[in-house]
Amino acid sequence: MMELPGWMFGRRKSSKAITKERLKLVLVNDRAAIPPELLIVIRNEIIRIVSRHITVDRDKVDVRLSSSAGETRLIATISLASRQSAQPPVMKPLAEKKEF
Amino acid sequence: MSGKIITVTSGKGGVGKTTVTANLAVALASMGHSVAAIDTDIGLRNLDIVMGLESRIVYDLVDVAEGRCHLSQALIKDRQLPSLCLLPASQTSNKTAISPHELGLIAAELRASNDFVFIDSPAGIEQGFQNAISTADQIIIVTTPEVTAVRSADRVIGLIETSGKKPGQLIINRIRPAMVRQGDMLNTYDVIEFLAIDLLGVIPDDEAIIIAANKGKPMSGDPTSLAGHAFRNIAQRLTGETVPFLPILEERAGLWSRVRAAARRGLNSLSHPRKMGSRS
Ligand SMILES: Nc1ncnc2c1ncn2[C@@H]1O[C@H](COP(=O)(O)OP(=O)(O)OP(=O)(O)O)[C@@H](O)[C@H]1O
Ligand SMILES: [Mg+2]
Repeated sequence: MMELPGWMFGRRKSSKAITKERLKLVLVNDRAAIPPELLIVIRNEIIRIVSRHITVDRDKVDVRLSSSAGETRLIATISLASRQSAQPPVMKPLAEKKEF
Repeated sequence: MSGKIITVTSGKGGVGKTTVTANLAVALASMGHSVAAIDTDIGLRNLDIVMGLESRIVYDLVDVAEGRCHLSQALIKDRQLPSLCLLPASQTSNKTAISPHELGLIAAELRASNDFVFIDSPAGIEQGFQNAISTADQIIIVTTPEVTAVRSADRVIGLIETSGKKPGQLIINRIRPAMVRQGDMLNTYDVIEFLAIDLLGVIPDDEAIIIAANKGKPMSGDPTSLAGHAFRNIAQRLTGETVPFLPILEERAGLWSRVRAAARRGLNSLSHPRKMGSRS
């Protein structure tokens, strides 16, 4: 069945959901007293470390504070680059394989 | 007599501290209580205008603090309500012209002869705010249902907690029921959920408040206006009565009981402890 757009019924998306989301984020940051600059520093370090192993899409790395059920979490969402350039694991082989 | 010292504060400016102070003072005086209001917004005095007493100022708060006159000489009695008086702020000094100790002495003297002593605090969280809360028995935090004001209120609530005072109570001012119904304004329940403190009252956005302030006649005595009704209800709650919230301002029935329950359980989506500022 075809879905009719909301505006056909004069419905309009309320702005409250966005307001609440923004307010929540602001308050979580204020209360944790973690300045946004620090989150940027953390974000850059996460990119640096993860990039050693896998290719990440730098523009799609999101580090933020979130709060639910009385617990504040630091949440990092890291998008991988669409095509992984087969990055060999940065591990030394334990021992050279030798043919006898 | 030993009255209660109630400080009205907000953090953010222009959300309605002076309006709330004037209207609650008038409402309580109309109910027969003796009330003194102190304007501590030094340099930006306004309470005198809203109460319609500006033309009778001789001495002010700073004069009293600095010993240039007796407290009784600086108090202005309201002509219609003889049990109401105002101690105006100085218009020329600045917010640091008075110390918490000096304000504490003045408030204590007023408390001895009044049921209620209101302190109208300046905007901000600096010295003037600290002075105003330091001497309070009870703190009223005024906010509007907007992100900026709620954020400031949250900060102020944290600072009150840090200062060791017992938590304040919230007044949400300038609610516009039509916007709330359309989902374009936070409702009472939303704001309480974010701030997790007790609700003292909700006041609608009302032109009559602006007109009353311009005339210098607080409108909490006006039987026809909804805002006046809201102020009278809050005044009654301050005397310890339980007064139900005005239904028109609420989203859903039974809000008050749910709010109380939620606050008790600390059940709010942000309920991790506020940063304890200097203590941590
Ligand atoms: N519920 C309301 N409905 C309509 N107008 C209001 C309402 N509450 C306050 N106002 C208006 O908003 C303006 C600011 O109010 P008020 O001076 O009480 O705020 P304030 O917090 O004391 O400001 P400041 O921080 O400058 O001291 C005034 O013009 C007042 O008349
Ligand atoms: Mg004011």
